[in-house]
Amino acid sequence: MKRRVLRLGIPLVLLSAGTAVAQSAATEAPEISSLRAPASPAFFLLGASPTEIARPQTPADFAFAIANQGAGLKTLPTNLAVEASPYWARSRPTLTWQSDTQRSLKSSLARTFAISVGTAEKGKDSTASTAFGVGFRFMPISGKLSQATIGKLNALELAAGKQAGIYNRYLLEAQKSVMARRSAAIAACNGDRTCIAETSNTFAPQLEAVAQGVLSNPQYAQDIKAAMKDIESFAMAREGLTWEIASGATWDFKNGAWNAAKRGRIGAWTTVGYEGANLGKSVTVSPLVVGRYLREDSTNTLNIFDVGAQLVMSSPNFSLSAELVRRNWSGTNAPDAANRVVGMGEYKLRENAWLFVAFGKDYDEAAADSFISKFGLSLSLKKERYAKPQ
Amino acid sequence: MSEIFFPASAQFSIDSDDPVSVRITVGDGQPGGSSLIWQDDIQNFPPRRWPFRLTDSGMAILGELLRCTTKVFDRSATSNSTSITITIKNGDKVQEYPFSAVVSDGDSCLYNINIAFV
Repeated sequence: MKRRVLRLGIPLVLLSAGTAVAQSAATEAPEISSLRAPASPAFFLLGASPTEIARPQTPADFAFAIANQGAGLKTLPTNLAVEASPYWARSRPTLTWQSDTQRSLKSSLARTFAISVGTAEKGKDSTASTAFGVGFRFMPISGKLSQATIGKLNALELAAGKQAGIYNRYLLEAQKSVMARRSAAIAACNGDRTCIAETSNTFAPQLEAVAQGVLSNPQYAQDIKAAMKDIESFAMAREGLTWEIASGATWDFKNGAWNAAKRGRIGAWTTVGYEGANLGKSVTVSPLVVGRYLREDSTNTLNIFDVGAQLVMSSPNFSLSAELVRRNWSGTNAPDAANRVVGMGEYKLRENAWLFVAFGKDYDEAAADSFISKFGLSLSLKKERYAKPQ
Repeated sequence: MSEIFFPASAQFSIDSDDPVSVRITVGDGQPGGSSLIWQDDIQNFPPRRWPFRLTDSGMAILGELLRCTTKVFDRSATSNSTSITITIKNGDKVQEYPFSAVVSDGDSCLYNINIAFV
């Protein structure tokens, strides 16, 4: 159950105080997790929101995903969006969830390292270009499985054992006649092991066919449907100390020409946070510290260095967050350092509908709309409101 | 929510009259539970714990069939792979039978593996 990286929230801004000007419908509430390193640095730097991201499960799938989009790599693919984690590209039959509750530095690096590769079309006609981005992320420290998740996993394993038992109850009955014929044939072998092996091979396809047939037994389907009511859909959540590092870069290829390549953007993030600190029964507190570097070669030559912190208090019904980021520029005619300060509150009106209010100031105090003041309704369709690192 | 059905058959050659036991490991960081049919009895895991002793005398189970059913749910945030490894031990002899299948987000795989003792 991979974590979704696409944002499906639909914010509807109803009223903007302060500026007394209605915000456009495209204006969004400040993202609570905006200071986090992006899950897919390549797509973030491309400014792309691909509707579908290929997540190949094997190295061969990864190569196919790229070759399939790029006419056999003769041309630069125009709508490529691939994300892959080398560790998970191989089958891990001995990796139990119990052995992944806590991770060493080495296992955390291996299990969280992911590469993202993407392209996006920019501009039109004479200014048309294809942007190519590549990025990676990893977590030297990725917390541990929460006690709540461990409890859910234990309950799910019990339910899975019960369902396997239901299947076996029907299987035992369905295979009775084939097993009787098999037993008679084995007995006729009189202990000859070659005969026993050949007889076992002969009956194997018949037993498998009967096993498949159990699935279409209506009574079995009904029993499993009833048992599935106990099954909870959830993704494994990790908590505790986390440290994440991500980086990426993009290049623009004017008219898709290789020799017209120019670097577009480069970015790097490092975040240290803590997930799952409790304040009372249902309120969690998540502090986060971030350092990031951004450079946009296509529009200016300034380097941007951000250092910031964020504190989020969240419960099933409300959330409060505050963030402070200090931005430093370097390069020719670099402006003075500036701060961005934003406070935000959200209240749950009903399932997937949240009322939000945000106040603060952006970096350039003299710029229009630098006074951040938003009040509105956020209709969030995404499964996880607060994406936690995995 | 849909389910992949994964049937397979294998053989284990009994080498000695030592005890024979079985263990099923659910891999790729996913949760799962198993049930065995052994000599017409059904055993569920959990609540039972591995390993499960099939016999004290290996030679006494020649020709018998162990039917293993394991249901694995995809709950990992990083992978859609499910896998199981059935390990049979007969004295010093240890043999592993790995199986794997990729499922869609949140789905499950039902493994049904027969192991004949020959």
